[in-house]
Amino acid sequence: MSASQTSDSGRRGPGTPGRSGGTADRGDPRQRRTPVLDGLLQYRERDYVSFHMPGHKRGRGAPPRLREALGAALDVDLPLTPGFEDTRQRAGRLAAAEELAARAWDADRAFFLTNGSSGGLHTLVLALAPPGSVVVAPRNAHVALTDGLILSGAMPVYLEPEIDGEWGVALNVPPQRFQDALVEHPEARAVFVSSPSYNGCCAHIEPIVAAAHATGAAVAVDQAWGAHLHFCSALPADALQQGADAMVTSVHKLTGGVSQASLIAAQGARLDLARLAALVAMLRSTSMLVQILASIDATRMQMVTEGEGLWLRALELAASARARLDRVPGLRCMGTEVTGYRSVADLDLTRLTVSAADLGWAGYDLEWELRERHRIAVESADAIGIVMNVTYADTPETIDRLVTALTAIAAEGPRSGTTGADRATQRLTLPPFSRLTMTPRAAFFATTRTVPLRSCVGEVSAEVVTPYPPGVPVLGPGEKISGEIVAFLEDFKRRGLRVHGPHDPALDTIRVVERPLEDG
Amino acid sequence: MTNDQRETPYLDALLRYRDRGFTAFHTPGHKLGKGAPAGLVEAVGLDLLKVDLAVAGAVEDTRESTGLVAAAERIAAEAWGAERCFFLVNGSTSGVQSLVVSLAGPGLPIIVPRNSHKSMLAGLIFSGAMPCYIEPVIDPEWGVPRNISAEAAAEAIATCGDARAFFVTSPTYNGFGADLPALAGLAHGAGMPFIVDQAWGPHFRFCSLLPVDAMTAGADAAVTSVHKLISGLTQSSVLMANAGRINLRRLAGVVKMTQSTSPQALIYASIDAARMQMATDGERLWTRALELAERARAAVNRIDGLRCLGDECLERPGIVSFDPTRLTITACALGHTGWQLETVLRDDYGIAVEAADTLNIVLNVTHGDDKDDIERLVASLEDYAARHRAAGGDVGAGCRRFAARLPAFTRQELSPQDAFFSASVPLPLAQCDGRISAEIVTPYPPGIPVLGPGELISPEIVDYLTEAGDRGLHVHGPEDLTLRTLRVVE
Repeated sequence: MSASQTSDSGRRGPGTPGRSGGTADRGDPRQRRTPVLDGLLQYRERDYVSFHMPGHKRGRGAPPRLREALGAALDVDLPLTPGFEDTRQRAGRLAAAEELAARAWDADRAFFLTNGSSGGLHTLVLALAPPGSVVVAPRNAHVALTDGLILSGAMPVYLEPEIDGEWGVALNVPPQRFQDALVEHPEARAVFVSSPSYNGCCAHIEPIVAAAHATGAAVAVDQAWGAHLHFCSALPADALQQGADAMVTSVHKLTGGVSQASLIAAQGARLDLARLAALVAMLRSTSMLVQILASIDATRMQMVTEGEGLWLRALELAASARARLDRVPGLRCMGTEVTGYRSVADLDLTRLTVSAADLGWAGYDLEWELRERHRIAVESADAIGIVMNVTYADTPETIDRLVTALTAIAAEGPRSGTTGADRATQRLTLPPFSRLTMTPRAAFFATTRTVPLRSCVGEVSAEVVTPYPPGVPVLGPGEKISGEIVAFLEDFKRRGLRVHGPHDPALDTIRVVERPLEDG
Repeated sequence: MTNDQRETPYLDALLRYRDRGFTAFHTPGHKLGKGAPAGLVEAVGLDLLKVDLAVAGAVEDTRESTGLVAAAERIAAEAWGAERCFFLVNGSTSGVQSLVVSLAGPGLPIIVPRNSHKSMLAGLIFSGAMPCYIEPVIDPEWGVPRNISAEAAAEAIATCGDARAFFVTSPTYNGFGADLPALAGLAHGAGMPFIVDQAWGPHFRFCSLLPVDAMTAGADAAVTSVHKLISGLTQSSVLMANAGRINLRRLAGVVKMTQSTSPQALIYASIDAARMQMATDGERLWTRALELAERARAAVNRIDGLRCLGDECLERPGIVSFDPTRLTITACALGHTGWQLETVLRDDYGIAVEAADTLNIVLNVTHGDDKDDIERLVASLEDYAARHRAAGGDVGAGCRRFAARLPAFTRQELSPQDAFFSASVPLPLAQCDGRISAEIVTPYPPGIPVLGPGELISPEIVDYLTEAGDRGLHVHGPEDLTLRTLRVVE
């Protein structure tokens, strides 16, 4: 079976029977309720005199320019305490909203988070990978996963993702690598999967789940870029629909949440939901921003009741952008050809990864040009391309504006005078990462010293070093530094490319372990 | 001063972005409000959604961080009198956790007051540190904890001399301040960094009539909530720290771990603006708030049947300063619990209070109040008292006796981390004697844990919790809030 056939069978066209989640509850009138949002509106209608937090007291005490920036939002900046609901049942509205969300995602429990999916990943790592345990995770996982491991003290077994050299991006980890790792590490308690990737590439979750469950490990998916997947049958499948035990998703990234709005949805069969709930309570602020909570509540309602239509429209808009951009000489747009990779089951077509590298444009410069000359703000840029999100909030006008701007830039012809995207960067081969000699936690909290890059061979890194592209770490805390890694980093530096993570971004020095953290 | 405190670099950048009218192809998905659900637009307004931006790529340049947050943090550090200041988008909770995790590793002792905020326990669970608790005295009159006395602090240092840090919460929830300079001297004398959870004191530094702030008093680090009493959005806090006794590099690394990688630009902007307002106008604003609060306190104390906590508390051990802008009010003499008083104020008079428990209500007076608010509060309380004085019956005294009789702390058998991550099982309360708790149980009042993970359960604790369950006392923490079962280590 070819990869594209796999992809086709994985995609559920409109009207396809089967696990088209969300539909089950689409007709449920309870899903029209928004308990947290209603609490906010009710508070405002009753026009209370506030003797509670925050200190600005419904905006009256706020400095004028902050009032100008936030307007009516300050009027409903409230704690989840008296006035908002009965003190003795202070979790009432939030618990009700979380229950509706659990039903919407077909999960046993859902938790609203106000510290982003980063906070959600920390929570899931602590819940699934307690101190001393072993966990299987992709090497290109979000940095919050490493942070979670540093907090928990678990030992990761990292798996290498496939990398597309042309785009200089990490895709996903092929299922076979998970299967092999679980054979080698039957003691692993948990498996983490990152899907969709930043560029919208979705992993083959079902075979990973099957392998993990066969050895008794639970599967958690970082689905930060997939809050919408459950709600439209023409989008790739949602993680829980494919059998994952838990997922964290950013409600703000692609749907209607305000920044930092995220959600954990979890099943109780393999997870201790009581411990998960306790950890959620510990990691979220005791003074959660209620506007974030209300935005999760309202978005869940919007997605359940209208998601199918809204995302079909977004897909159409994205398809029209893709069709027009593909006709512009010199521009390229990442498409379903990526499903030819073993690690990619499907592509979220609302994410546009575009490159004008053939015309000599670095992604960074293209982003700058779009921003300064065309007042178009993109999601991100790297040396090769730019990434843009198309959502149901877009219109034919916004799409036209984007396509027109990119067409105009391309029409100016090849860029001269600058190096643009150094084509050689696209052919970078990452050195193999080395085995961990201690847990990330022991290395992070170690006594450390700073060593010049060229003298690092044989030392143990105390920090993460991630080159962009492709955004996959070459070093993490606790990992031995090989000659190959040093040579790679020196070459990378010479090309003027950027790394994330180390205390010295210029890479003249690396912080290495002198004496690891010892228990007691 | 090296920085101009009138400047607000972060807020300015946010407004600049908005005013340029970009077409957005970045997060969030609602795209400056256009796709937001109608109910959300109605509740929070389009203004907020138009400035709801991801930090990178929109407010900042993606090619190279222009250091906006760092610039705003530098100005804030100077305003709060610290070498470093970190903006926190996950509340003071994340600040306390960052400090515990960065200061003490697995098995290492730290001195902490028993009435710490619950984020302290989470910090202990994440770090693996062993707590040496100082038990604060509960004020018998108000049923709330006083602060830590210098004698109790000295005793803790004598018994736990190898502690990696000395934590104190000051002011307490009711506004009681510890003798910070004395405590700092004791901690430093023993070579320990002195850390203050100053969540309820973001305003202290900006008005000479308020108690001394932690950094001035010699703290090595302090966490303060910008949203609680000054103008930040909910969830906005700052962590301040000085090098010397603290490894700032490690602290910065841990702080980064406890914050979202998609931080709310609005929370950053609100910290920036609140700092500017306090640094430039705090003295005047808080002088006025103090006048309003004193007017309210005097008027409440003239009402038959009501009492408001005041600076008479300063004569009691463990309390060396008091923030008069916090109003703790009881209607026990009228036979009403704090909850009943809170409900009446909310439903009959349209007044929303900060907190309520069986005994008291707590209210905040800030620079956001005016004379009318205070008059409405006083008139409402007068009317309420007149209506209910006839009801009589002193049920409050019973609550008070109950709250004052907290069972003694037993001992930490396992670290909170080991206990939390152990296999555990719920047991009927009566069978818990001699077992090790896997969870925290905090009754309100007085808001001090009776049990934490890893602590031995004594017969006295079982008796106390049995009675608390029968009386329906409000507890935080355990899985079974009715207290019929407790989760114990297996």
